Amino acid sequence: MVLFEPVLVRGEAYRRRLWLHPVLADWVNTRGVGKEVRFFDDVRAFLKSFVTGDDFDDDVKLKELKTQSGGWYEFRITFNPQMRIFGGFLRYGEFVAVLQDDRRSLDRNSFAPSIQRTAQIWKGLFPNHPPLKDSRDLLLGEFFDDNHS
Amino acid sequence: MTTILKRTEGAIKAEARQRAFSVLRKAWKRRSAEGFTANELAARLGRDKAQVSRVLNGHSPTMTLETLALFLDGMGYQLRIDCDADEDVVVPNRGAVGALGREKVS
Repeated sequence: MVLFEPVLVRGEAYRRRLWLHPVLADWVNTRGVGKEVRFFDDVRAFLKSFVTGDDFDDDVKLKELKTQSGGWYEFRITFNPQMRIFGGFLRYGEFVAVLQDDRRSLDRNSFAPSIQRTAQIWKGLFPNHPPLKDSRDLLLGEFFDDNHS
Repeated sequence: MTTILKRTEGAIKAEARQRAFSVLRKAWKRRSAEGFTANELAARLGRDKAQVSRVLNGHSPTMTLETLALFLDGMGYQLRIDCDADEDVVVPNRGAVGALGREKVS
């Protein structure tokens, strides 16, 4: 897994932690050509706002998916082309993102295959650790780790 | 000479867009919790409701400073623009320089 650590400017700090599946990390780090350049800059800025502690407490940016087991979330890239990034909270303030999908293909195929794939990847990574389920306030709190410099 | 990490031009612009959207959402969350609707905002701005909803939900490809100011005014907010010199910014205790969206300068 790849830790998402954007460059901070003075006054910013890492408030939350975000891990990306390597395939997803490659996608997030795409430089792109033409219009893609701006799109991927916006994707990284969006994810940076998560790790630097921006307000994610409504469904516009981060939404819990309706599943039986619960604990699965989607980051909602609402600018075009709209994308969704799936994953869950490993610990409070620590999100593990494993998969991205185009919103248009989700419209065509439903969310079920992506959620299922997310659960499979997660289980492979954390066989004894289902995604954390708790109130949004707690899940979105600051991440504290004494070992993190 | 010490090598430092600097944000790319694209990252600086994208983060400004992200901040603008966060400011808009902050105002909208409060007003919508108070019962103010997108229809009312659209009427106040003299805009189409679908267009207003697109901006509020982040579907608009570009939100200019003028649009942000206009929407905030329609919600009874004032846009405040300020800046700080790097040396005057209080540095939080936590955090470190990271790896993405960077370019090396010396």
